[in-house]
Formats: sequence, C-alpha cells, structure tokens
Amino acid sequence: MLIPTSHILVVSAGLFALGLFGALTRRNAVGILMSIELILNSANLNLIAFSRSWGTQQADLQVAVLIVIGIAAAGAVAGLALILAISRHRQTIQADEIKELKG
Amino acid sequence: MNLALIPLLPAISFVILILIGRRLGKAAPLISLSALLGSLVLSIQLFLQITASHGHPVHASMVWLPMAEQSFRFGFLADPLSITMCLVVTVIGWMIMLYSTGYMTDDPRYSRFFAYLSLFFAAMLTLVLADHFVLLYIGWEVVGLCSYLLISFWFEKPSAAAAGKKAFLTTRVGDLGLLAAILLMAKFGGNLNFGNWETKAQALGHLTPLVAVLLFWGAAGKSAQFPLHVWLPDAMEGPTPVSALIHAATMVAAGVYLVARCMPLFLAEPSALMVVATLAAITSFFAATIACTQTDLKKILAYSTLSQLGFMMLGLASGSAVAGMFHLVTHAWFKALLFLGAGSVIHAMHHQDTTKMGGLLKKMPITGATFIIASVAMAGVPPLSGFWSKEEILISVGGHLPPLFLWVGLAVSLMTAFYITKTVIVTFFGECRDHHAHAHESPWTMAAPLLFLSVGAAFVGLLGSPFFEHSFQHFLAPEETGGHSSAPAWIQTVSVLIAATGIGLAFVRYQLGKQLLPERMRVRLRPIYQLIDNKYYIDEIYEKIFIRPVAALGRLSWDFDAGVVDAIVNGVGRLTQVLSECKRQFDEQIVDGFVNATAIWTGRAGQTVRLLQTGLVQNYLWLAAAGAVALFFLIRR
Repeated sequence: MLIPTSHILVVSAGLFALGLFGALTRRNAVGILMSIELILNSANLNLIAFSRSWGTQQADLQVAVLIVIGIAAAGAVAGLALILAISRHRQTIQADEIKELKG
Repeated sequence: MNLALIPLLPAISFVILILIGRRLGKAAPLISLSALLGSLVLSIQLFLQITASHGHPVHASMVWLPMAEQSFRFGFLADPLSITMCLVVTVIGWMIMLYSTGYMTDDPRYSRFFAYLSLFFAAMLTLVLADHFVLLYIGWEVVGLCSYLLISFWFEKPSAAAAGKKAFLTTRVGDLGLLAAILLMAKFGGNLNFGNWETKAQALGHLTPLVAVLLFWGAAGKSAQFPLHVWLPDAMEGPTPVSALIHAATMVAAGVYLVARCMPLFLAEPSALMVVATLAAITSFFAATIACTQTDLKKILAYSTLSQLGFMMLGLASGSAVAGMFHLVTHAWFKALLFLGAGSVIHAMHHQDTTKMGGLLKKMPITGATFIIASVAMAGVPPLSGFWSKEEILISVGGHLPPLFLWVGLAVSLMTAFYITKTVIVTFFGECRDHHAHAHESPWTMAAPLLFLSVGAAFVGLLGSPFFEHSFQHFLAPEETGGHSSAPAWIQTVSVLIAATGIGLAFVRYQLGKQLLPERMRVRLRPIYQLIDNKYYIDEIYEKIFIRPVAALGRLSWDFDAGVVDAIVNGVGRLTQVLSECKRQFDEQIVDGFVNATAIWTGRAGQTVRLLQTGLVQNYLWLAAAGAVALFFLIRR
C-alpha cells in the first residue's frame, strides 16, 4: 500500500516548520546550521514525493535532490568552517553575541 | 663680394664675442682685432683697386625686396669718398682697439667692451659703404646705439648712465631729421640711391632746401653741431678709447660724411649751405671759447672736437666736400692721438683734472711727446697735418662765403692754438702739482698705437699738400679743380701767423705766468668768462625749455593716469566685486541650500534605515521569513 503524497507533504511541512523555528530561535550557531539542514531536507522530501507521484520515467527531481544534498554538504562545510573560525577568534558561537555588522 | 665682407667681419666678431666672449677672457680682443684687421686689409686692397682704375667706383648689390616695378636693392658702394672713410675707420680703429686691450685690462666686462666695439665697426663700415640712404640709416642708428652702450659702459656710475641717455636722446632728435629727409626723398625724389643728384634735386623741386636742411639736422645730431651739441661733452663719461674712436675720430665724423656725400643736393640750394655755414660757424666759435676755459682734460678735448667738427662743416658749407673731408681725415689722426694720450695720462694719474697735473713729460716721455706732436698738428703748424687741411678750409671759405665766416675761421684757429698749447703746458711741463701721484709710462699695447698715430698725425696732411701735388684732393674729387684762385692770397701767411700767435700767447700766459690783460679789463671781462665757463648755460636753458616741460607733462599724465584712468579701472573692479558678492550670496544661500538639503534628507533617511541593520544574523532570517510569508500572500491573491 502506497503512502499518499499528501501525507508526505504534511511531514515535509512539519519538518520545514521545525527547521524554521530552530533557525530563528536557536542561539547556538551550530544549532542554526543544523536547523537549516532540516529545512533543506524538507525541501528534498517534497521533491521526492512529487517525483514519485509523476512517475519514475522522469529523474529530473531526483537529480535536483542530489544537487541539493551536495550543496547542503558544501554549505555545512563552509558554515562549520566559519563557526570554527569565529569560535577561535571570539571564544563564542552564540549568534546574538556576534553583531559587528550592526549599522 | 669682398666689399660686403668689410662690414661683415666685425659683425661676425660681435656675434662670437657677445655669445661666448666671457669664456674667452683675455683672448677676446684677438677675435675682434683679427676681424678688423681683415676689414683693414680688404679696404686697402679696394683702395689700391680704385686708385689703379682712376677713381672708378666698385659697386656690389643684391635684391633685398623684390617688387613688381622696381626691386629694392641692398648694396655697397666703394668710391673714393667712402673708401677714404673706410681707411680712416679701420686704420685708426685698429690702433684704438689695440690700445683698448691695455687700457681696459682690469675691467670686469672686458670681452663685452670688444663686442660693442666690433658692433660699432660693423655699423660704421655699413654706414660709409652703403649705396643708398636706407642702408646708411641702418648703420647710422646702430652706431648711435653703440655710442649709447659705450658711453654708459660703466653704468654703475650714475653720471655715465645719464650721459648715455642724453647722447641717445639728443642724437635721436637729429636722427628724426635724417629720417624725415629720407622719407621726403623716397616720396618725392624718385629713389634713395646715391647718385643722380641733379634729377633728384629736380624731382624734389621746392622741397630741396627742406630736404637739405633736414639732412644737415641729422648730421648736426650725429656730429654734435649747435644746437644739438650738448651730448658730446657729456659723452666723455665713457672709457677714453671710446671717446677717441667714436666721439672724436669716426662716428661724429659721420655727419660730415653725410653732408659730403649729399654735397650736390646742398650745392643746388645755396640757402641750405648758408644754414649749414651759420650753424657750423656758431658751433666752431663758441665751442672753441668754451675749450679755452675748461680744466678737465677730456672736456677740453671734447669741446675742441666740437669746434673742429664745426670747422669741417664750415669747409663743407663753402661748397668744397674735399676741404671738409680732408680736415676730417687729418683731424681723425691727431684727435684720436690726443684722446689716447689723454687716456694714457688718466690711466697713470687716475683723474683728469689738468690743474692737478704738470711735469708729466719727464715721467711719461712717449705719451708726452706724441701728445705734443698731435697738439702742434692741431694748432696748425706747418708742415704737420692740421696745417694743410685747415688752410684748405680757410681758403675755400675765403673764396666762397661772406668775409665774416673767414674771420670766424681765423678766430677759431687762434683759439685752437691757444687752448691746446695751454693744455700741453699745464699737463706736461712745469712742476707736478699733485704730489701723491706716481705717474708711469703705459704698457706697449698703449704706447705703440700712440707712436703709430703720431706718425700719421704728423704726415697724413702732406698727401694734400703741394709737395704731393694735392694727391688727396685729386683722388677724392678729380673734377674739382679747386677754387684757390678766388681766395685772398694772404690767407696762407696769416693762418701760420695766427697759429704762432695762439701758441705764443699761451706760452706767455701759462709757461711764463704773465697775465695777458691789465687788471681792470680782467675784472670787466669777468662776467663773460663766467658765461663761457658755464658753457653759455645751454644745458640749463635746455633744462628749462625742454626737460622741465616734458617732465611736467609726464607728471601731468601720471596724475591723469592715477586720478582718472585708475579711478575708472578701480570703479570697474569695485563694481565687479559687488556683483560677485551678490552672486556669492545666491550661490551660498540657494544653490548650496538645495545641495545641502538633499544631503541632509539623504542622511536622515539613512539614519532611519540604519536601524534595520542589527548585525544579528537571526534578525535577518526573521525578515527573510516574514518576506517569504508576505510574498506568499501577495502571489496567491
């Protein structure tokens, strides 16, 4: 028995809401990064769900998912590197303590 | 083109010396001396060529300005008259330049002096060799410039600078006459070439006397004839070789040369000749009287030069170019010698006041002996040169002019003999009146020219004497058979007697120390002596009549300038200032107002928007999320 696409979309929406909430509220920069990963993966879940409902002949959306995963990995690397640099420099990774760019 | 080289060589020397003379140092005169020697050799060669062809002139010309009808030609003419001048200028000039190498030896502007001398020779030779009036005028003006430069050569002395200025301005008044004559001739007389005088006089018609008098006016400026004579005595501020060369032997003779050159024009108009004769007689007589009263060695010689130039002009006015030119040549020799001798004395004594001299013959035998030869020549003692030329003039004057002029001539001869003998006695004989002086003979560069010139001063006159069959007169004017017959026969005897009388009177008065006049007459004549001693107050009169009014006019124009013109200019300036002040206010208040308001409002907007930039990354995320939500609602609708 096949799980309906709508269910998957609901899970995806929940995942997105969870990620957005985390990204907006976490103070720890690593947490923010993790939440962004959640958002990206909710998008991936959507893409997979639509890919399945349209039929398996078309691999476009699956390819897009792979690209998103790759970009997410690259983003995580860049983000972690930045966080590492900031923590070395400032001895903190609390997002609300980093505000050099205040206008 | 040997002819053109004669003035060109000194011109080249001038260019070299004025450009790199300072680097040449003591070698500078070598260039000017060798250049002039070249001119001298060429002149002699030309002279021989002309004598060989019995006075046939050598002419070389080239087109200067090509014009449709008649090209303007630029050329040199060597006829007996101009080659005579040429020889006088180069021979005496070379001697004087050699003398200058010794005389100027300690001068800081040594090479410049020789540069100016070279320029002078270039101009003077152009003047005498020119074949038409324009080229002559060019030479005429450049010698005037050189005269100015050399008179004020020691321009650190205010008196020398003033004398240069005075000479330049006074001769300029004369030059104006020459220029006017040239312009009249160019307009009405056909052409400006020398020659064809009859057609020229015919074409000028009733203008001939005017042109002749204007030519004489020019000559009077250059040759320092009354009333333009005032510059020459002051010109003695220049170095003595300059006085000898320019203000005694050559340049001042240019006026005599000009009148001799234009003689046919004067002969066509007896009234013009009378003007010349009158002014020449006045100059000659009054300058001789002044020379008797002076005590400054160079001033005596200066007034003597004036007097002798007047004498030459008198000879010309009698209608005999030969007589005037003959005296010009002999005078050039003995007067150059007198000046160089005076220079030698001044060089030794460091002053030129004859009252502080005396007994110099023993200390300076060469200078003294040559000076005495020149003096005797000028006094008119036969057979020295002055005698022959003076006699020639007196005979011509006696034959062609009213008797009054002959008497003036004889009086001048008497005074000439008197004052020059007086000068010799107080300078070279008796006891030295200045015991601080350590006079000594001058170096060979100064003594050699003295010796050479003394030979000329003694014997040049013989060329025009019966012993040489009047060869000078025949060379200069073969067609002039001489008016000797119409003159009184006693002139010759009387002129010798007069020279002897003059010398004798001076001997009695200054060597024996006896007063010539009884006490009562001396007292009575005192005012006249004062008048003469003050040079007839002519400088003072000119000061009152010309200089003061011109200066007053100058001050008046200054006041007008300062009062009216400056006021207008300043008013315009003030108006502009006020206008620009208004414009400044407009700029500052309105234009700047707009600009500043824009800036202020932009700044305020920035301040407001700035609040968004918290620097907190999550705030931005919030905004992005809110924006996404907003977009969602906007797109959905």
